[in-house]
Amino acid sequence: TQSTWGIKNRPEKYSLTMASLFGFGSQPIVEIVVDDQAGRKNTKFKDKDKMIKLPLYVGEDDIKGQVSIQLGKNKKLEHTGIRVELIGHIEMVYDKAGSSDFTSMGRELEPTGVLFQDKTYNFSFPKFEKQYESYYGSSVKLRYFLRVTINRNYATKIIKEVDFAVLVPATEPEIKKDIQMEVGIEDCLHIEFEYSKAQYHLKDVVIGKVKFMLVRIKIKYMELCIVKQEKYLTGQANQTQTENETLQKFEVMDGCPNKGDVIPIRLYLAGSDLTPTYTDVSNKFSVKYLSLIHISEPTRQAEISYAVFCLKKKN
Amino acid sequence: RCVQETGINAEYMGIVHQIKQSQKVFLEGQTMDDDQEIKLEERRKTVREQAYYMKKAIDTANLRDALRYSTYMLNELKAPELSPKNYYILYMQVFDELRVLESAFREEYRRGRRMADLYESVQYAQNIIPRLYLLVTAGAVYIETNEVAAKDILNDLLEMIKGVQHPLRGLFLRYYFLKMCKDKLPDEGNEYEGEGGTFKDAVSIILGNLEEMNKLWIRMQGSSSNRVKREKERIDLKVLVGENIVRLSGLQGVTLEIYTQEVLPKLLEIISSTKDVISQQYLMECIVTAFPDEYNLKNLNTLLERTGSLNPNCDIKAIYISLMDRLADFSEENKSEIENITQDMDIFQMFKTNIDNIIEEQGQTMELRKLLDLQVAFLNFTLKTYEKRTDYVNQILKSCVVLCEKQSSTSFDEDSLKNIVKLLTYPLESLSITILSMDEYPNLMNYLPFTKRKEVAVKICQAVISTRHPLNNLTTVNQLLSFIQPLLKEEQSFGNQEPYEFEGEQQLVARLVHLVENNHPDKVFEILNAFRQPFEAADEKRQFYTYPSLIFAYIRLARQLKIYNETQGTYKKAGNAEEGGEENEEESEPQETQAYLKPELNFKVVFEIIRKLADSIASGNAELGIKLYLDILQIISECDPQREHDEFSYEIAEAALTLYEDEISDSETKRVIILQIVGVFQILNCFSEENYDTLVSNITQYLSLIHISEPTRQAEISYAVFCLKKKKRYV
Repeated sequence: TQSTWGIKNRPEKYSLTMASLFGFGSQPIVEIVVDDQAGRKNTKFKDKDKMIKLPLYVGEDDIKGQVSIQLGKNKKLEHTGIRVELIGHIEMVYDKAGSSDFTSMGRELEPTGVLFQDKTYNFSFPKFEKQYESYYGSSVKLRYFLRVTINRNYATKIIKEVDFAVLVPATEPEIKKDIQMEVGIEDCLHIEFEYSKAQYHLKDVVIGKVKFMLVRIKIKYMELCIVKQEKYLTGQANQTQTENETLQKFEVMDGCPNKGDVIPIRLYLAGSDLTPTYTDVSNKFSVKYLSLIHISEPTRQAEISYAVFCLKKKN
Repeated sequence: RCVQETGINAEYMGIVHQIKQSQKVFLEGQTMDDDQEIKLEERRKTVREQAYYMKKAIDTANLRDALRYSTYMLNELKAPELSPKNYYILYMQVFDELRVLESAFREEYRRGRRMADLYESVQYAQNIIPRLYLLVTAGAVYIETNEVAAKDILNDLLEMIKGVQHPLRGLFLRYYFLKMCKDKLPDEGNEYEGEGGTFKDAVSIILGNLEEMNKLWIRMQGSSSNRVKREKERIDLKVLVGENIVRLSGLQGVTLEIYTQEVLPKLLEIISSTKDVISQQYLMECIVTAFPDEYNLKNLNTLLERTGSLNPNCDIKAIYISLMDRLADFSEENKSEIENITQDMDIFQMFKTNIDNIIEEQGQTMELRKLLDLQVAFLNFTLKTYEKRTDYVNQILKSCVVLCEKQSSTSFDEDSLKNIVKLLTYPLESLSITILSMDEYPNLMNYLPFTKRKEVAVKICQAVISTRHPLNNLTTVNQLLSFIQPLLKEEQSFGNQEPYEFEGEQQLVARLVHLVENNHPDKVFEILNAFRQPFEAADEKRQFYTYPSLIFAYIRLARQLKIYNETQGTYKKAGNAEEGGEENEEESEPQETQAYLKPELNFKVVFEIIRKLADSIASGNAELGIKLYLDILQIISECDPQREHDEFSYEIAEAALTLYEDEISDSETKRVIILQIVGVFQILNCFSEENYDTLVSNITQYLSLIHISEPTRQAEISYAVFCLKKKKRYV
């Protein structure tokens, strides 16, 4: 069975209107249809402010399907070649120059020539390389997509892209280690905190506690902040840029404890939009998560400690 | 078990009542500044609004929205500016609204929602206050499903609520926890026992909560300069903390054994882990009031010792008093049980030792009245626990005397004196006349000023009268008379007194005389003479009340003497064939079982005493005098068939008639009295014919002088004359 997915190039009605408006005749419509959609899992990403839902490819999955080109009102389509490509792309949102492909595979569908009628091509990328995982961050994106390009001599290329997602199953064994830290502000505050694990899966719950060893300030409240940190190389001079985004502020304590009090932490990660942690993806970027203990006094606020969470998918 | 349960229940109701009271007080609090009031109103309004949306969402089964709005509503409980009183008002409002959410959770479960999911999803809330209130609410419903062990959820909640370290908000959150887990605690015989845990889990959960609440409560004091205000605020909140102890005492599993071995030691540990006066004091009082008295009785020594080691600023006395008052009531209701207990434990000595310690340590600094408060409670307890132990009472009185000795006269304020009065009067209720044998009694009484002594004297009289126990012993009566001295004579320092009060007091004294009773006339005579002595020494005002009763007592004695003589006489007639007159009686040989009559006791002596008494009344009050004379004549007539006292009787009759002639002027009174005289004369049989004639002619003359127009009255008089004359013929 086949089904259509992705964003349609343009609604037909719309293209007609456009065509009549500019007098050029309508653009040909390119459609990419991928096989096996019914049985395939989808995954969601938060891209900017909207959620996108993409079909998911893992392991040795093939991706194959059909590209159909409809001429619409046009009598013919002159081109200098039609290609379908599978591209893995790292996009630096604020630095286009830094963007690059880390993988690219192409199939020529049609050599230079002229199409006189609608045509459908089969394509297949068997067991394509799935080195990195799809990621849609605020400053960095790692996308996989299929791209159909109709090259033309005297007109703009016709490009059709369709995203899909790749997930790399966790292979490393789980790290059975807790996080323990002692931090403080000299002579004012001294705390010990611990998390039961250093590594969590995305729907995990963070269990921990904060023990107050010394309290000489008036604490109003304590928050646990989950901060997502993206680090990426910019195009110029291989500089590293860091982008922090507070995903969640979670109040774990109200009021001021006494020396010796132990405050429990229980944070359900399912409540935040998290991705796994990525390190040096294609030497381009890293994504990690920090948990920040944020302590507020009546007059000032202090972020006094942080721990790095390693986030994993569930094996 | 049953008794104990009602005890708990009553106690619980008591605390509920307290809470309601404090709520009332909160609401009535007028000191609330306007600013606070406005802020409270704003928050209440927000709560109402959000609750409205919450309920709307619940109505459309939209749980997500319901949670969202309830979170907004609960955010109001953050209220950093509200005073504890106002916070309480706000809390109560939120509490009520949360009940709707609670039943919505139940409904969700019924519709098939997994409670585990709900329990998780409420924890996504970002702010801790709403999150934890929701968690507790969801947890309670989760427990109801029995899908999870009650103890696990309860322990989880207990752990999570540690996140609120703000004293006020923490206390209320934990109070909410207590309210919600009220019927969810695994306990002996309830549905959560078994997989849900045991009552021991419940005990440790509550104790854990108590410990934390206590810390928060103490923290509330802070180091603020506004110490007094803070203290007051804290006291307002004490019931929140006390709720833990109510919960503990409500557990079926907490038997005497568990209480002794696990609950009490831990409670005492919590109490002594701090030195906070308010906390120590209140928790100790809670222990005393919340648990069955029997439990505390069995652990008395521990309790007393620990109480003694509290912060010296604690009102240890108050705790002791509360403990003793309760145990006193317990003793009263469980007579047989307390008897068994006192056989195994010397409760009296335990209290005594500890109370003596307090007095030793604080006697110099504590006010006398407070020390005496303690003794009063101790006495009350002792009286109810040891019914027959006058020696114990005497010991307490003794330590009071020792206490008083050390005080300067200025220490005896009104309250102290009232306490001394209590110390002297409490024993009367149960021990009555036996108090008279306590040597410390009068010693303590001496510390009272005249009016108070008089008050005690009145109580003593009342106690003696109310027991109706006959006064049959001269020693007792002498002691009694010395105790009631203030009633018997005028005192200089004595201020103004209402006439009715005086009359009441004197009537009491008079009634004492009626209690005199003994099988042997000798004894009665002795006792009456003992009464007579102070009566004679008193002023006329008193004699007006006391003499008549004394006269009647002597009249009774005369009658008793007559019967005594007669029975002795008949006995003797059988044995000795000797006529038994009263003079003879003295020489007669009574049986072994009967005491000799003393030579000084005979009719003549008695009559003369009576007459003397009547004379002194008559000189001040002619009417009463005449009546008494007539009474004397009647008893003489009764006892003297031989008319041996003819002349004596004549003198009395003459005195009565003289009084009539000289002192009675009002014609109506004259008429009434003369008719009385005529009435009595008709039955008198103690005059010789000659004397009687003289008297009757006098009376007839008096009668003729009475002018009355009314025909019926005239007939009365005529009839009287007729009767007298008729009698005369028979004489």
